[in-house]
Amino acid sequence: MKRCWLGLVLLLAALLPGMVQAQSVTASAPEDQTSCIAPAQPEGGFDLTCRVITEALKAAAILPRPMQRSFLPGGVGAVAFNAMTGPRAAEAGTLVAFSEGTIYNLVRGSFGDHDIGDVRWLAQVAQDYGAIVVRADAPWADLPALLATARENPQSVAFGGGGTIGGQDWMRAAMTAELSGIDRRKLRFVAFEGAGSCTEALLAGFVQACMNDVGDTRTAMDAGKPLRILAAFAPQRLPGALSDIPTAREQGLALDWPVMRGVYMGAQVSDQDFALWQARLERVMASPEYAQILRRYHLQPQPLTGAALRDEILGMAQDARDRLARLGTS
Amino acid sequence: MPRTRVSLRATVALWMVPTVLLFFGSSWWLTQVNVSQLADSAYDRTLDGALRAIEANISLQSGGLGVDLPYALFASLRTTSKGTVYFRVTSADGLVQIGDAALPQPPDLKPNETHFFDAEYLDQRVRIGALRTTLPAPLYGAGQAQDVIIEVAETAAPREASLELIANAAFWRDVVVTGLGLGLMILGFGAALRPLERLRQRFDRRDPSDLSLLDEDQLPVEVRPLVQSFNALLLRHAALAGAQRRFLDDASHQLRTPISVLRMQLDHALQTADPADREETLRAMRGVIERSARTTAQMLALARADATAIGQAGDQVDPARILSEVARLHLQGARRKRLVLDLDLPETPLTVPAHETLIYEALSNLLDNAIRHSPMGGTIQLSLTVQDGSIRFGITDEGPGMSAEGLARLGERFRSDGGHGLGLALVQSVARAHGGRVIAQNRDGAGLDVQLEISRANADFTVPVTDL
Repeated sequence: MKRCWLGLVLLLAALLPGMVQAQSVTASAPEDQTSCIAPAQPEGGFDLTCRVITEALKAAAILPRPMQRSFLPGGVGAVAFNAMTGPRAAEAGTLVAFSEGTIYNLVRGSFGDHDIGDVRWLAQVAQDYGAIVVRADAPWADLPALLATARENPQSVAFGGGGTIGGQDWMRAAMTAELSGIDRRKLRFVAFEGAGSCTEALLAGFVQACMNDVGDTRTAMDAGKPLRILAAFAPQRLPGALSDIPTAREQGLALDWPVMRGVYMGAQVSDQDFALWQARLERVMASPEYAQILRRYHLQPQPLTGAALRDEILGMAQDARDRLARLGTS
Repeated sequence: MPRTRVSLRATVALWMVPTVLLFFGSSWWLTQVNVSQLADSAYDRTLDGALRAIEANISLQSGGLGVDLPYALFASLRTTSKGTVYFRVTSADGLVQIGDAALPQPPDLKPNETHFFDAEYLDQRVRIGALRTTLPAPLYGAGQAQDVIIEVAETAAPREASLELIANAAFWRDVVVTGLGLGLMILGFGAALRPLERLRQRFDRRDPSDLSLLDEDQLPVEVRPLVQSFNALLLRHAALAGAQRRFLDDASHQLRTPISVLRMQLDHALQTADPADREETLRAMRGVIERSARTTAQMLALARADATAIGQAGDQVDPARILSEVARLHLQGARRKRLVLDLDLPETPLTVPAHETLIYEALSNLLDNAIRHSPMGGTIQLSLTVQDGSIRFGITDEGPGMSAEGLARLGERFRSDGGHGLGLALVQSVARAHGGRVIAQNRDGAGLDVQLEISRANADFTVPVTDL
């Protein structure tokens, strides 16, 4: 398959001599130096996205060299988004992880003067669900217990999450508070650069609950972190190994929070390179190894590309706008 | 209208209460301010340490903005301050925000400026330290390095609790010190007022007729002028009382004899059948009445002189004129005894402060005495001499002079030796009233020389105490 793509490139180069130079530079880059950027601190959801992609690509042996994973924290994706719309907009070998939070932040304008059309959305590679996570030794047996404490003494429970006020994790915390009768203005929300940082603060006792996701939390627990998921914001229990996690709905909190695990590319990446990557990912996502990798990282399959992805993102943006309007935060 | 006088204790209290309150208040306030500043600076230092620790943990290695939060430091901060610790790292452009999202914003900071301020967060007062620092390199290809603002906050309640502890200690310390001070002051003031109380008791125990002076030796210096003034008043009262007593004595003494003489003569005149004898008796009675009239006039003058000695200063009078007028008044009497009045006055005019009536009366008495004691055809010398601080009227006759005993007891009343007594007593009183004296001596040959000396200074006319 790889050869086939190379052949196509060479053919195009021959047909369009004026483009040879430029094409050869940009086309060679993805093969030599490819990387997946998690725009946060390690061990969060973005990191999980990149791990899935790099491992799946490796398993499929598409790239001559393994794809690198790198981190670009800052504003839960803001720094990376600004890089990919600015100085790094043309990097054909760079994929950046995003989530529904990225869409929320774009809609809110917290990435600066940018909107959804400023980058090229490549693919959704998996689906995850939001979770409320506490330390394994936390005193709360279930979600109502935690919320009862937060209702009685809002200052005693600090909720952590990726992104700041108006961001997706804050919004999840705020809606949880609202649905359970807690004044969200009294909610202490601590912003972090992704779930990994929040977990770190949780283990250090600096926050009492993290609005992390099921996949990254279970992955961290697999790595030995003493954590406990109080609830998953999924419509029903997740399949397989995750079926032991109670949903928020089961515990009286009618809130679903699907989390998108996807990647985008710089705005100035050529259609050709974009198509190349799209084809690669589509191929990978169809492989059995991919399903295995998703299971390992406790994610649900939800392969989306092209028009379907665009519709999904636009729908999500609309959701974000509605929810922001409802919470009165922009 | 005299205002209502409050007691000394009340006056002192009135002044001391605001003073003590001022001291108390200022001490307490200063303690508050100082201690709170000290506590702030101590607590702020730990906040500053946390700020620097976060600043040191900012990493741009990935190309993004990574902060490794010093949770161990936060934990120790939380343990030592027993409060809650908050932090936030914000990029100046607002893209990045890590930490307590709703923590109050610091005021605009200059790069590398650290600022501490009080604010409210989650319904609690918090102390916030904020630091603005510039990143070592620009992020996402920006033209220049961005600034980040680091904030670390801790709840102010533990800090305020310790402040309150110190403030309470200071308050009670001030209360105790002020109370002790007030107590000592009350004791001291009581001790200071004790001599006054003893003075009052001395007054209370005093016999109503006791006009003796108060001993001022054991009194505080502040009270002495009061006692001195009081003593002076006492003296004047004693003098006045003495004068009145003397007048009564003089009057009864001087009038008793003539009245009994007159009664005898009257009885004789009524019993005799001889008209010539009756007429002679009546004539004799007339002489007695005239002498009594003179005596009465002298006594009134004497009483006036005594009263004046206790009273006011005199006017400026011309002593030479008074002496001349006295001489002219007695010219008739002198002529009857064919006496020569030799008047010797200074050439330069002068005035002295004196009571003209008294001087006049005294000189008149002296000249009257001289005329009565002079032999027929004798000479009476009247002189006025001026000395440094005084003037002297001199009256010298050629009569028999006075006995040694008479000279020694000069001026004593009721030494009835033919009219000298009362007259000289008057002269003595007048001299004293003018801060002067009377000098009487027998002349070598024959006759009496009497000098009336009065002060030229505006004498205060205070009677020497020993004279009373």
